[in-house]
Amino acid sequence: MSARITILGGGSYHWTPRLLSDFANTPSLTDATVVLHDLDMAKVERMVEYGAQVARQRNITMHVLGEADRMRALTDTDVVVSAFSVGGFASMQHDLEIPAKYGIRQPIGDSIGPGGVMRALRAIPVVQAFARDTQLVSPDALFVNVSNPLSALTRTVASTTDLRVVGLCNELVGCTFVLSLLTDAPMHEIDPTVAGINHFPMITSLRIGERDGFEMLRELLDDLDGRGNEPIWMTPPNAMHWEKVSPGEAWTKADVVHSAPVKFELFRRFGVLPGAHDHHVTEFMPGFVNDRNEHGKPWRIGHYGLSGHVSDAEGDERDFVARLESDSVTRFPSGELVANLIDGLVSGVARALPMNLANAGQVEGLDDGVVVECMGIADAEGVRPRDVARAPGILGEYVRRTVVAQEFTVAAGLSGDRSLVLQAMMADPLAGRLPFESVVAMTDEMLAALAPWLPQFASA
Amino acid sequence: MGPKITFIGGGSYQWGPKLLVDLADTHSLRDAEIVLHDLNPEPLSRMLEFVEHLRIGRTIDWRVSATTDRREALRGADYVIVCISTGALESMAVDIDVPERYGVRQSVGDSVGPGGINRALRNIPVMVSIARDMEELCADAWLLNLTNPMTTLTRSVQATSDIETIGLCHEVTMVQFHLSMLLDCDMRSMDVKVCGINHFPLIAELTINGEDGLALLADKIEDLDQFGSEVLHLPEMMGGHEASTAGGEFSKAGLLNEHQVKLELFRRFGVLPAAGDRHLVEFFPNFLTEASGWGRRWGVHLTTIADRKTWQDHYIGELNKLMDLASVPRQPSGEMVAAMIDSRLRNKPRSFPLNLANSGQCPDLPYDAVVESMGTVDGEGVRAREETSAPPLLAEYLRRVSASQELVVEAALSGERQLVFEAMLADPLASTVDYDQLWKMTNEMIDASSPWLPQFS
Repeated sequence: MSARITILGGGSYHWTPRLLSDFANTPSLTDATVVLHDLDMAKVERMVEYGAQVARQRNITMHVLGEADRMRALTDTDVVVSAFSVGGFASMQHDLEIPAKYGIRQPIGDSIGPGGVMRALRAIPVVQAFARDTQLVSPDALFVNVSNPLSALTRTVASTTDLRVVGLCNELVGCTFVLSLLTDAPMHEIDPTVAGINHFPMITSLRIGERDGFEMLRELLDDLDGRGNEPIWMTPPNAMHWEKVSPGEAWTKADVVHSAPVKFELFRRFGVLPGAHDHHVTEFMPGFVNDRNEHGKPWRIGHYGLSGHVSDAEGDERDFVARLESDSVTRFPSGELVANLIDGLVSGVARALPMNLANAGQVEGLDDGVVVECMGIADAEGVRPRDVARAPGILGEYVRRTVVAQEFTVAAGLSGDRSLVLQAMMADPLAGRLPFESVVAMTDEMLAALAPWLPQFASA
Repeated sequence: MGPKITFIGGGSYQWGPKLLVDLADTHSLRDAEIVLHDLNPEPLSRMLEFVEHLRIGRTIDWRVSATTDRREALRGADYVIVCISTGALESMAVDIDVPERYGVRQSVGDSVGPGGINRALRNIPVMVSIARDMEELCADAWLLNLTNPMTTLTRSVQATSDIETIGLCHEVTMVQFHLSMLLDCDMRSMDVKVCGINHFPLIAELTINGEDGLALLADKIEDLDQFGSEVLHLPEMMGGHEASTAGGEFSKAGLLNEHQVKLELFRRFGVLPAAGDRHLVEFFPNFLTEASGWGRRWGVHLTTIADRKTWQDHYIGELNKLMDLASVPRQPSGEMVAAMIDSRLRNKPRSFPLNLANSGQCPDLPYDAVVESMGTVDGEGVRAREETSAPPLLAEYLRRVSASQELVVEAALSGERQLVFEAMLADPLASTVDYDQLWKMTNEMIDASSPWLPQFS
């Protein structure tokens, strides 16, 4: 079978080049047809050009084409990848800067927190329209959401259509890499059980080959002065933004632990390992980032700020230009899971990977239907959760609270009801800690500043 | 022969006199046996004098005794009223002072928040041991818990014992009383549907003579200019209001000023929280903030240990006054103990706000958690009266507190600091503290309370 894959937001410098090279590196997808749709078709033209270059350089039949008409782009497709954001940096500035005036500093600001809530409100009507159109012309397609806030947008599709939908995020891949560095195990041997939500996934147990990975991790953490000095098998890529503290030339395991202090503190204390970067995790636990600890300084939490996001985007564009100028297609996997998932569907060979799926009991303690992050299986049958697990104790409770906030966010985004936005903010771990009068004022101020991108709130 | 009613903490100047007057004025209890138990013999003898004084003045046939032997007091009891405070104000100072150093100021500190958590850790082992003794000495007796933190203490007994346990609190009644003044209606014409947790119960429905009382209230508070200056005449016992009247007469606007938080929540969410604002604000991270002058902007005063000492002296003074009167006045306290026992003895069904294990009356909260709702007491016993739901956001706030309370009970029973820390992380007020600081605060509180926390030694 030759897969037809539609990418909405296909002009994305971040997503499309990575996905196209991943497809080229996946034998079952080298004959795929990839349809790119975007509001900015000029960018799509560049991506189509790049797609042709990939096919030529690899001598594969992958066919990349642009399609300005959304309905036509979606017609008779097998997989829809939704990769877009609404309002760009002009809107994101408000996500970050208005909360900062009220004392909330969001390390990233794209998943939860006041910024994540507003980002969701902007994107929800759009992803809802994408999904509605997909349902009309390709009701059997798998809808793959890679846009943030991942949970809220995936939930929107799940709650407004009958489509099969999955949200994919690379954070757990990053965590697997960290675990591989710390345990010297190959990444494919690292097999976590996950119960949580996107950007706050909880690894509740861990197999590494035949061993208990948590035990291996504890042995290392208990002996950082000794075994912590062992070198790691690969110098970390610059993109990890890690800080080397060991004196020698080589990066050590202690350096890796030092670079993710929140993750390992929570593991030591609660026996559960958060599988996302500390910058994400701390947005769910404001005890780590607050005005009494210089917004996360003891935990080495940096703040992306708008400049961080802009610089990421510039990096994506530079990377794209470098790809165009290269005479070969990179064989380095992007770390994104889209190609891996589609490979499972197309080849029928079961792939286990972290997925965001509607809860059907795989995460105990959360309501059915809410979107959770768990290990899933992709094969010829489609996608489904693999394990049943529960995030224990206080971390499970924090997961539950965030899910509730996200349900308010989705309801607000779909309805345009301001009171639901306030409730989403009050239930949110970051925004909900402000003085009552500030939550109200900040919500109003953000809705006003972001009004150009929030048509559903216009009539109120 | 009437029932044997045992007071554990029978030397309580706060609870003893008013509950005893209620019991004395309940006809079905005129031949009761009253047993006062306290660890401290000094208030006990004073209270015994009072009961004798009351009995003689009322010419009732009570058999009365006092003892410091708890097992003796419990043997054969029918009702066990528990009003204790482990460590009294000395221990409570830890609950208030340590969190304040970490930036948490509490307006009461006895139900949730770091203070409520620490108080639960002290009282739970005592409650559980009372219930254990009851299993042996009076297995069919009812345990009527008046002690705070009400939810966690009641829950700890239910989690560990088969003793019938009911938590009783007057906050809902007080709010109904204030509503009756505000809306000029008789309390008896009023009925409420309640769901929630003690000190954070929500009136989801209010009927006054068959009319929608919440709609009446909504109209009323939008029309403050019209009626705000109407004067209210408060019973003397409600001394709290005297301060706020400060020379002038007490008006309806003045009354509303004491309920700013619950009215703000009522305006936004359509249900009326039915506890004093000083309690309600401890269930949110949003009101006891530096920005609000630690609640002042909302009309909430932070109760200090010095305030409590003053109250204590006041209770003793009141008792002395009663002793000087030939006949103790017939003044119902608004507490429910006597009426409940009467309802059961005479099979006369009455509704009360009750703290019971959740068997579905509060569908927003986990089963078995202790919840506050309207309940019925009659000859058959005690049960929740109806199912009542909260609006979504407040339901979530309730769940958050309930989650913390479940961890508190587990922590108190196990003596594990880690679980106390988790309870603090789940608590709305405590979790505003920085993560590292919160761990320190938790340990500092436990260590400073070590005389009263044997399970953590």
